[in-house]
Amino acid sequence: MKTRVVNSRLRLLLLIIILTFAVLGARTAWLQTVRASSLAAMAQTQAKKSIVLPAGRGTIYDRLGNPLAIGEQAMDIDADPLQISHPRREARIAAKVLGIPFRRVCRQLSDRSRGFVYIERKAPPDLAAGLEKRHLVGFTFAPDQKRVYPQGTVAAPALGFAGTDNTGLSGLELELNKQLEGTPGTATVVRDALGQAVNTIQQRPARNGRDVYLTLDSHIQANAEQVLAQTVQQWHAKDATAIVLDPHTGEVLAMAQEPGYNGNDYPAATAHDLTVVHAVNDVFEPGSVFKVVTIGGALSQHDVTPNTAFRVPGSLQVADRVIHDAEPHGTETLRVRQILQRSSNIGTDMIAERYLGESGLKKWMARFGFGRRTGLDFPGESAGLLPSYWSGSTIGTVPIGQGVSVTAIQLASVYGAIANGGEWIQPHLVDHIVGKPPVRPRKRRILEPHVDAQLRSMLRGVVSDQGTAELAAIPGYAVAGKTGTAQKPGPHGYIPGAYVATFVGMVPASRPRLLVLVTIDEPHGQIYGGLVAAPAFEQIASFDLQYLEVPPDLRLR
Amino acid sequence: MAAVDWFAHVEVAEPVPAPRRRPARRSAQRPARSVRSRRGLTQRRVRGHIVWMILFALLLAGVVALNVAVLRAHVAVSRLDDERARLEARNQALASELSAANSAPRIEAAARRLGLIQASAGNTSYLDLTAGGR
Repeated sequence: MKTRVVNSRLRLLLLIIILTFAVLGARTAWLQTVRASSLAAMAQTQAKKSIVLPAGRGTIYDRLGNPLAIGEQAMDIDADPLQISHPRREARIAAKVLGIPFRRVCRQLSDRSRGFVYIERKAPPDLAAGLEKRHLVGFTFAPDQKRVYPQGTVAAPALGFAGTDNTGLSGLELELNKQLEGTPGTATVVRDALGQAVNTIQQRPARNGRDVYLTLDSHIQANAEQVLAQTVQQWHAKDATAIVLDPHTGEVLAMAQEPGYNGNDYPAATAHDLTVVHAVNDVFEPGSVFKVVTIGGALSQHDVTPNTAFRVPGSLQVADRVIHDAEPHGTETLRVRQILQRSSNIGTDMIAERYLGESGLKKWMARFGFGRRTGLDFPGESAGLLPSYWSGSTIGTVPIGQGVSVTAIQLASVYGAIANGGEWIQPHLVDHIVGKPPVRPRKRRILEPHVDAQLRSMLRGVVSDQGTAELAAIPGYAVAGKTGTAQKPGPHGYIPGAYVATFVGMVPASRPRLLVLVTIDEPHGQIYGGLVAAPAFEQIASFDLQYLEVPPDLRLR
Repeated sequence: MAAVDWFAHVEVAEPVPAPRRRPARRSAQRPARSVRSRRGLTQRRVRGHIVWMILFALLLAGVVALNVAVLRAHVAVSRLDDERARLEARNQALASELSAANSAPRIEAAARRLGLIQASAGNTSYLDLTAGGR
């Protein structure tokens, strides 16, 4: 009797267990089959989220390893107004935490016609984290990068700018965009019920962009910019440009211009039209600094020597034009050396007419590289402008650097070749890209070494009390260089009173370590290169010589 | 009131088979020994089952513990990822700050405030050690 009772209880228990499992099994089958897709989708949206892993943009360093352009982490904060039930309350919180205008945020969050609005782009990570802690419904936080130029104005035009989406828009940022920008990755973040990330599954890792080292030296660059700022202020000039070049390597140590701008405030610079890099993108008539082409050509053809004498009249009629020298004089005998030293227009034209002619001038302009780009690693380089049609008077204007337009970098590279024994080396701004072999600059000989030595010796005479650039002299150092003062062309001929003053020099002249070019656009009060640009050269070169610890090549008296 | 030992009771309630080919006079003692040995066998079986159940429970607990450990590791990895990203951001910000502090215009302005001036190139003396001190 007792056994039967026990067995019936056991059967009852078994039945209950079986029924329980049957119910659970049926429920499981229901969830796993009928509701499987909808629940999986719901779980996917609640627990998993695909995110884009931003690739870090490479850093741009100067030659010393100082960062000039660097990516700082930031957060993009966006919201879905359709999910927000209390836009005013959430807008107040967001505006308070981020320090942005409440009215704008409130207007954005109240606009229920849109499912996506940016609350703040590239917000500081600490502020974004503060807002994220408030767990506002409908707000999304995505990592991003903000391009920062820590040295502000230093080399800002050369560096250019990377836009909101971290794409290079101008300058080296544009030129090197392919190397600097990486490849974004993707990942899925799995979160628990509390929203805490429990797993991150990387589908594709982000690959950061490459770092780039420039040839620019931030100290030399900053000094050049400062000198130009003083010069522009002193002469009330429109703008000014300076290039500092290592003539033996073609490395551009500084490419400065004034007015400059702060790299972190590019939109303002664009509004004031300050983003054009004059040294590369703009052309100007070089004036007398171009005379090295004429005289270098004649010396190379062995038509003249530095001591060949010419009877130079007070003026020279060339077709319909009368050529004068800067300082009036009667007929006098000048040697080629003196023609260059005193920058005689008439003497130079006489050499060009007698020994070179149109074809000779064209040949030597091409040999020196005028009329074509230097190949500088910078966007928008101009090739310069050579006369397309040679009238009767062209032979009187081109030899003295009028009627022909060049870029400052072309001119600097040509004088760099003269400083380098007659061998032209392609100027360049990029030293190397990390992880890539350095690009070797192109080289070509434009002057024989003995002709180059003659020309350099003649250019030393320019920086003397007999020459036009006495103010370019640096105590203890031999300086060789050339002044230029050119009228500015306009739509209706030359603009009255508008000049470009230039000085380009090399130092120490016995074994040049530096090539410095300075152009001052539309100076007022004085217009001559020897008076306006030469002192700026002296200040820039003095600093650089001391900074680079270049010993003097002259004995100080 | 003691709890009912359902299974033990069922085992005990099994009918004892009649002894075969045994002398009748011994039958009074034999059933007692047989019940004891069968009870011992049953107890051993029960113990064996309990051991298996414990092992199974331990296995299940191990699986659960492993899953919890993996989950914790994922959480830790996620936290470390966040920490790494935060430190990278901090590092970049510091590099930027350092570069700004190192910028030539700032240093020059600070030096000027201290009354320092740039040494001119011509007034800087150099020793030529390659000339053997001559």
